[in-house]
Amino acid sequence: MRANLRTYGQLARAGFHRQSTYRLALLAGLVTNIVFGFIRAAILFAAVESAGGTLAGYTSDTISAYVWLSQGLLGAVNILGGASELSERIRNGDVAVDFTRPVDVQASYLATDLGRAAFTILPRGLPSVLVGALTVGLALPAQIWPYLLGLVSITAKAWGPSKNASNKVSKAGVAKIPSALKLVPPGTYHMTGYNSSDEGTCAGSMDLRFTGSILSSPVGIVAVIGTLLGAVGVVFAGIAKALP
Amino acid sequence: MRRRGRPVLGAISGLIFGGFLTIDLQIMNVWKLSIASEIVLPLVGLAIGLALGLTGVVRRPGRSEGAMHVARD
Repeated sequence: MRANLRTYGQLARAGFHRQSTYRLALLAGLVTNIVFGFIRAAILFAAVESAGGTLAGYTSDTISAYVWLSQGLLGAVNILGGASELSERIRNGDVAVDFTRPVDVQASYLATDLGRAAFTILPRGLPSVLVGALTVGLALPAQIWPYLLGLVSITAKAWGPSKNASNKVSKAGVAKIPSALKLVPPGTYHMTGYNSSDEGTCAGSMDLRFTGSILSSPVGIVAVIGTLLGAVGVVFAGIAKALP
Repeated sequence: MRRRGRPVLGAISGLIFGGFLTIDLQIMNVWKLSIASEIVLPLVGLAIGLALGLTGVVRRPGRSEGAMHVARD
């Protein structure tokens, strides 16, 4: 009989609870995260300052965001955690026992590790970022969309029905909007781009206003569902369970 | 008999609830995002979920207080 999704959920839950047992180790990890965060921030701030305020596109605030977000995720990613439990069991041969179990070896260890990583976000990830934000400051986007659409860069090429022959500073026109913008929730967006023709290239920007409701885009629908699920979780957590 | 909810689940659910609520309010142009507003609602949600989980004040559906007394006895 092979394991189903519920089994892996239980393994993730067990990993979560196992990690929550080592509270002093979590505190030590948090202190280490913060101390090394300050050291990294100091070094990179000095590098940015010596480069004249900008280094490879980073300013002091954005490099601070990079430092503290990466420090906050260090516990969850566990890149410095040394040898994993699975690698140790492969080394001493105990993994042979794992193969006799009615669960997939890799998936079961992944589920356990996801549970462990989920717990470290609370006591290590969030406080690290909070300390960085309250002490040296972070450059976080003031809009929600950079978080969701940060990997996508959209440029509208060739706007305007005709060339700007009279060299006006501002010229109204139409643009062919990339289809990816169909996924964007309603709101006003500032968009940059350029027009290239035989006469040369002209860079510019435009403000796009999308109308509609919160449910008219996939992102809005996901946000509403996430809110409802979170609310259900909060209410469920508040239901009293009988303890002896 | 002592009653208590699920504080860890409450804290995580509250954090998720606050985070998504921030996104909802931003989409509906109710709350403009800033560093402070991004932090406030998730932390408030976390605190509420933690408090509910610690106290367990929500009554279990389909079970009256009298039934709990009977079960205890």
